[in-house]
Amino acid sequence: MTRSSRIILFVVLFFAVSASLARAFDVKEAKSVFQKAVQAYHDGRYDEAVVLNEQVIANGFYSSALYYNLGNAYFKSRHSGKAIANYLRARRLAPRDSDLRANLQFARTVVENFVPWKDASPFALPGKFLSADELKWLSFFFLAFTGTFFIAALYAGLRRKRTVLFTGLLGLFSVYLAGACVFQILQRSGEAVCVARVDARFEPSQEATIYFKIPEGTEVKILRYKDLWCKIERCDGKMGWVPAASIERI
Amino acid sequence: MRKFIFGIILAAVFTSAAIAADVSVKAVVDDNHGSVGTGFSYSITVNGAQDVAAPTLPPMDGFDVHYIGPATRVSVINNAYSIEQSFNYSIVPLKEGHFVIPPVTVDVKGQPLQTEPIPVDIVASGARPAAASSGGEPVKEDIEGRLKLLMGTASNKVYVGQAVPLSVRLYVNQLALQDLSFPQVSADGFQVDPFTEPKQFQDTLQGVNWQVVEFSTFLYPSRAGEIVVPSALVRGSLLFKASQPRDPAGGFFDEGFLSSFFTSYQKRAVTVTSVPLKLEALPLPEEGKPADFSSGVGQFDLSVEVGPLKLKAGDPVTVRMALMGAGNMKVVRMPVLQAPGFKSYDPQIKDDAGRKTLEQVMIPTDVNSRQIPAVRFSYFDPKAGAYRTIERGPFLLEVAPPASGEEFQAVGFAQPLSVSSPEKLGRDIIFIKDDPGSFKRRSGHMARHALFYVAFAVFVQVWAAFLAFYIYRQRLLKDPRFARQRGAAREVYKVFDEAKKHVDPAAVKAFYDTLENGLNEYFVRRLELPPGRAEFVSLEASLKALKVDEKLIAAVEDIYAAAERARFAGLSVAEVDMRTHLADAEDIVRAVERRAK
Repeated sequence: MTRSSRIILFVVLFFAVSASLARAFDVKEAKSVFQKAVQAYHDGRYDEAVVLNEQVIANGFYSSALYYNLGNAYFKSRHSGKAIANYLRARRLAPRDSDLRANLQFARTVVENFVPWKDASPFALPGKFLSADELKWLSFFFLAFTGTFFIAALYAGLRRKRTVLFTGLLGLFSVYLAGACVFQILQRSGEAVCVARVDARFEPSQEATIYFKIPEGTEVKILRYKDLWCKIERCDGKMGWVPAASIERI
Repeated sequence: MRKFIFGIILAAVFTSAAIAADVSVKAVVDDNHGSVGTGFSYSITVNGAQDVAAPTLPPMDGFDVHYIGPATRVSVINNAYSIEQSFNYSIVPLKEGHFVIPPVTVDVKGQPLQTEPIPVDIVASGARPAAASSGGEPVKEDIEGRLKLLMGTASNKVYVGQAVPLSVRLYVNQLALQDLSFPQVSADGFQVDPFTEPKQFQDTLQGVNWQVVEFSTFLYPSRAGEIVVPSALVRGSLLFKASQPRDPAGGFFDEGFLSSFFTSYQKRAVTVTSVPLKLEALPLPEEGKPADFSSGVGQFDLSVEVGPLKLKAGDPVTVRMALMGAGNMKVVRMPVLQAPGFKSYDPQIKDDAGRKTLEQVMIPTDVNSRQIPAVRFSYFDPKAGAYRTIERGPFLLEVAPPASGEEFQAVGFAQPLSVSSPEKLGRDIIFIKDDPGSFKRRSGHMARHALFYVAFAVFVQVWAAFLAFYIYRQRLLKDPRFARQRGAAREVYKVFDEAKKHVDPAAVKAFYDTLENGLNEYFVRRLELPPGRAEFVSLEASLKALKVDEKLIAAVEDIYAAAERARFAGLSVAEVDMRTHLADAEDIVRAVERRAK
């Protein structure tokens, strides 16, 4: 090994170790704050638990358990809207968590006139069981497998018709998973929850006529922003303008 | 081989033994009441054997015997094969009186078998009693000899309450009977079922063939001791030809002449009675008598079905019992179900022929009512002379609490039954999680990293490279021209390497030979020129067609000329020129490869 290559290797190792040490420290701290929030919740200091969990999130960390605990803390602090918003965030990361499903279902029961959104798209189905990240990995895996299988089958001299058929099916499945992933990402981009009881108006103005009232915890879709106002759509298709501060994007 | 022959002999011995065991011989007459001069038939029948020689009848005093011939009958009933061979004779009585046709010995495959002797009554000619077939009203004595009523049971020792099969058989010989009534049996000390539809068949009795009408029923002794079944009685109408003697003074066309063309029949009421039957009825033993004895005497089987086995409190469950067998089904008491925790409705009992069924609806009033107790049925088995008990169950149920609003409402009870109400559960959110799981960073998202896309692109490129290589290989295999051209370039570069070794003024000839031959070979293969040495004129045309630079074409010509000089003139060439020619040759090949694509 020449002298120059030794120097390059040393520099690479230095940066790698430094980066991993820095990251480990951050995670450790985030876990420490998380445990403090758990203790605060356990002691009935729900507001403090909210602040501590929000602090972890503000530092750039997130996990389904963190959102779940934050949702619980909000719910105990009688903020059903924020609780539902955080449960929905947690559900994106862990759609199969039964505790989470139960709490979300229970939190929705306190929402006045709650009506759930219904997704009729065939791409919505995998999202009920798999998170967007899982869908990404799965679609990537199936795509890689499809390509590798196709090349391997060509070299192995397998029957071309069967190879094409099998590869086509695998390819379609991976495309479907990728489509489901994209659908979830696009869908989530507009999801929001009203974190306070608010009036939806015909125009983005306090003087505009009130169209309908939105109870706290209602799940809506964001259509567009204008200044400090936001145009939302209710699950029954009605649209109106609400102050942007009154809704929280998922 | 010896074993095989021994096996065949053994099988033959056993088969013949089997045949011998099943063989029987009998002799019958169609009528044992005849008159002098009127013949009757006599048959000797061998069952279960064939190829039997016709027996020789012993001398019979008072009879003229004629052999008519043999007859063979083969039958297969329920896959059972049977064969019957008959030897028929015509016997004409020569004098009146009571005679006995003696036993006849038949030789069946070396085994002598004897027939039974047959008594025959012969009367004088003209005094022959008339039957339906022959016309004229039969006399009383003759009817008595041609009608018999026999009554019998399988056993004379029976138990009280036992179903005893009773058979009443009417034997008829050479008579036409109509309007037969069912037998009448007056009962005292027993009960008797109505007779079933009669069966008809043929039977041989004392060497005579009889038409038999059999009536069957069951009788049930109701008390212990000797029981006398009185004479059975069957009524019917005897049918005979009404013959009218012709009046000798009436002329040729009198009534008798006309009536002989239009035969009419007359009926006469007849009553046939049997002899009484004695039975000994035994009392049922007290020893070992179960407390729940059902009064059943016979052989029984009990099946019990319970369904559904999964239900809610308040839903009905049905218990179905079926009692089958041979016995006094009418007096049998069906098992009684005692199931605490159930509301029971009255059972529905049906009595079919040989089968008694019970259907009972029960309703569990509580989720704790999870078992229908075992069903017991005790009866007396007359064959074994002992009491038997059949037990079915218990039957386990899965009783769920009723749905809200569907609680069981008991009907017909003085006090409402208590049914457990559904459990009320509290509701709240589930507690927080102690483990944060694997924390992720917002900046660490896979899709936000260019590396992810680079990796994906690399993946695609690798696939593309493999695919391209595969296509290239396929083309090499399937396109010989392509393979030849690709091979030309590869070969010429090897030649260039070889020529480099000869770049030496002392090896001018070897250098140019190598270079020129290599180039020539390359051009022939790559440009598809005629094999052999390529003429520069045709080579130049091909290179120009590929739009190769003129300078390079001139260089080719220069290389060819230098090679000529080195080969034939033996002139020396400077090393620099040799390297220049080599470089030119490489440039030409590269240019051709580039253009030819």
